[in-house]
Amino acid sequence: MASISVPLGGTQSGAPSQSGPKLRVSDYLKWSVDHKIIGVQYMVTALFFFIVGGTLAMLIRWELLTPNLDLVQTGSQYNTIFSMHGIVMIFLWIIPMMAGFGNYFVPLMLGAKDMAFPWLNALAFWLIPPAGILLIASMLVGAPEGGWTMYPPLSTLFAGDGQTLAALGMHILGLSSILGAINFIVTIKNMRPEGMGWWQMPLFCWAMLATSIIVVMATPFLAGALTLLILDRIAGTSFFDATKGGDPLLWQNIFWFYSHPAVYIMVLPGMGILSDVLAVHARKAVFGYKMIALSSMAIALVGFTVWAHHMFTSLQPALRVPFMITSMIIAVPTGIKIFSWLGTLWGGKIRFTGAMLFGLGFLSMFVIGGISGVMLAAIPFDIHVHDTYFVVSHFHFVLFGGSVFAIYAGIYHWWPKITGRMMNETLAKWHFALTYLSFFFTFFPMNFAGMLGMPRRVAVYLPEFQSVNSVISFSAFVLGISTFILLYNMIHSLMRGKIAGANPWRALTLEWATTSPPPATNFINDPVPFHDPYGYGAPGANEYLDEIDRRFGVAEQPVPRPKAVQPSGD
Amino acid sequence: MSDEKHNAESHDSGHDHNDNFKLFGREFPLPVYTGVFIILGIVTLFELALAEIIPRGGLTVPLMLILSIGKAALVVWFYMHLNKDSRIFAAALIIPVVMVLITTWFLTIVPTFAY
Amino acid sequence: MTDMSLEKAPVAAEAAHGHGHDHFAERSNNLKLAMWLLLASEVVIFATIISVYVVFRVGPDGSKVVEQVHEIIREWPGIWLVTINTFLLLTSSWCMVMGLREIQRDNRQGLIRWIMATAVLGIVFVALQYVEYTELSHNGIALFNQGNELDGFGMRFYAPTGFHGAHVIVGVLWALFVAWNAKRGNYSAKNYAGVEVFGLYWHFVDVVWIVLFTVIYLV
Repeated sequence: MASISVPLGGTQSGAPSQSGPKLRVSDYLKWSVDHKIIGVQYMVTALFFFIVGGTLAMLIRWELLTPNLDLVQTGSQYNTIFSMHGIVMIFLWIIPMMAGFGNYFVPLMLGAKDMAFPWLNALAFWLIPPAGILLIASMLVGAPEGGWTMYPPLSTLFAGDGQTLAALGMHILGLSSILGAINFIVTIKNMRPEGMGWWQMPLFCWAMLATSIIVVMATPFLAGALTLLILDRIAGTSFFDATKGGDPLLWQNIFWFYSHPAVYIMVLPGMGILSDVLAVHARKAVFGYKMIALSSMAIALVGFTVWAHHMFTSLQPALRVPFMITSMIIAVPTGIKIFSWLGTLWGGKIRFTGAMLFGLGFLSMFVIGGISGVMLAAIPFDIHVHDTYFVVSHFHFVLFGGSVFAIYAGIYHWWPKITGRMMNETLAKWHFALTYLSFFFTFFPMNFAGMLGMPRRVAVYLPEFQSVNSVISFSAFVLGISTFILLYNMIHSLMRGKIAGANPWRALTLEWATTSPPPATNFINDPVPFHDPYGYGAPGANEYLDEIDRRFGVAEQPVPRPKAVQPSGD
Repeated sequence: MSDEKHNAESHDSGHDHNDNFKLFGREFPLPVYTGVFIILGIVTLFELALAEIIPRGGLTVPLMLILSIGKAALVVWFYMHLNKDSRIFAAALIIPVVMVLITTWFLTIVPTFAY
Repeated sequence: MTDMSLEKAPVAAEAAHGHGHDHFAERSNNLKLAMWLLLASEVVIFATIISVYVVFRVGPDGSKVVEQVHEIIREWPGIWLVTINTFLLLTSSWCMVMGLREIQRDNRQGLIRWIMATAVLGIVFVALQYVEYTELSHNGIALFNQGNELDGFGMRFYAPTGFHGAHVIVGVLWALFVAWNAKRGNYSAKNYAGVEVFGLYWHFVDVVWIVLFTVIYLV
């Protein structure tokens, strides 16, 4: 009976193998068109650059322990460090990491065998390592000092040759993400299985769709601006040089045409991850599915109309108010999402797994970042705290407290599917507790420093800010160290983690309806999705989940419950 | 999907039948593509005449811009088959075009200095 | 409600198995959507670079410079060169679409002939653009400022037209690739997505030139 009413795409005959394919490390170092291998390649590359960017962040905090220059000899060196920290974290950590999740899970969630264009997918990934090398090399051949925003004239007339290499690297990364985004859009539009309409798609796919639309429409602005910047640097043109008839404000406009939508490129996939994680670990249907999906689209649309709030101090004053209004409007779809997530949690059977903890961490920290964002959108306040640590605090709350927490949640959530092994939940809780607290005490005091007037992007500051900077720096060091708990947990799990089985979280989305890790063709037959990807508690859901366990293998032992935490040793 | 069916239809038809060029109800012994090409050429020459012969007046510049947009639309509509293909392709063109027109307009009206 | 959908699911599964055998149509649809999305991003990058010219053109200094440049172009009959170039691209677009028409009728030789014509016209276009650039630079219009009264025009002119020229060169190489593929017999009346996608690109390059011709040379 169960096997009839639960029409999973299983094998035609005989028992399926319940262990995934065996892949060697060398398989990940080669050109491969398998979206799962490419996804892992993206993620591992991104994690490497996360460590690079994190090291740079530690250097920044080390320098700022004292009000004077001590770690670096000149301001230029400090400029290089924070510029590269920003560029590496944004372009080589968050965006590729989200693309990695997308690559691995969008086809699986859609029940597809691969992306629409596997070869293009591989090309998009293999553009990243050369770009990463260019960016790292840029640190060595002369300082790229312009910050990640690279405002001229700093980036055209003053910075060293490294700036050209950095611009070239960002250009290549932009091309990579455009190619990836085209692939995502075609995959999501054309490769959904029968029985999965737009409104039965997991919310992560919706988020990747919205993100990809932004990438296709916004990233070329950066490409165009970088082309002109590179011409200015190497061909003697003066597009952005006011002394020769150029226009430095043009850079700011075009850059923010791209970069404001780009902040949604960085956070929307995280919101998609969160929607999935919260529903699964709270055992409840997503509250307001359509509103979450549509608010992603609304964010994508409104995100194009707010760029000038980055330029309140440089743009024509008459334009401030319209952009203040649009900037505040964009908080509305975000608020819709936040309340939908709270509604999802309300009355759910919450399991405090690592993924859920980081999901809750995202919710709390992202709200703080969102509120300081609305504060910054208010012109009088913005002019007061413009270019201070208040801004630094704001975007770290949304990028670290938002995107990175979502990435952590995604890692804990999907690790069993990718590797076939469980992570240690005790270590996950330690990781969460340390990260959460040290994150808060790193970035929240920056609000005070900023409001008292400590400017960003300077290595030397007034002595009166030293105490707050000490708190920030020591918390930052703890935050840096806490990352190694995750890395240790990963390695530990790979070597002696518990076998995860197909569906350790008993989730209903399609990526769990196959072995862990999935076979090369993902599914043995065409899988049939459950009618509601978040139908926890719906009639038939338990039968569907039991059928998955029966066909594709169960976990070595029950999923850790809040009460019965598994000890770390085994 | 409906676009696929639509495609398949358009592929089947059109080749056994004639695809002759029709203008103002008259049919010419030319493929549609050739007819469009001739129109494009004539409009280009007219634009050139407008720019070179007629003195620059109030309406010549907007007229030339409209003519070039019309030419672009002809190419997109007939040569790039938006007349037969999915509406999503049209959206993929029109949305960014509208966006960049707005941003270009914004850049032209916002003064850099002297405000 | 939920039971119903569970019972329906096997039907859906069968539909899933029966569906999707029209491989060429599916692939053609995917390729064309991808190409249109690529063109969407090309629209934006071209617009970014052209808008730099437009901002200059409507500005008070720029309009004076552009009028002087137009005078220079008229004294040396560059406008005819550009018009010839425009017609070259229009004609190549027409050749392209006629080639597509041939392969839709399963005439592979016709496709190869038209595509080669497209490529040749593209090559002539690039060559004439080279002649034009040479002449303009002799007339004092350079990529960087030279301290003459035409400063500021050169970079804003060469960047969009050069970027377009690069697209034409890529298009010519792609056309040769399509012709080679056709020679190997990779296209037929049922399977011509490769030709169609190249056509989209080539017509887009043509459309960009239609806009550039008006915005830079005529207006």
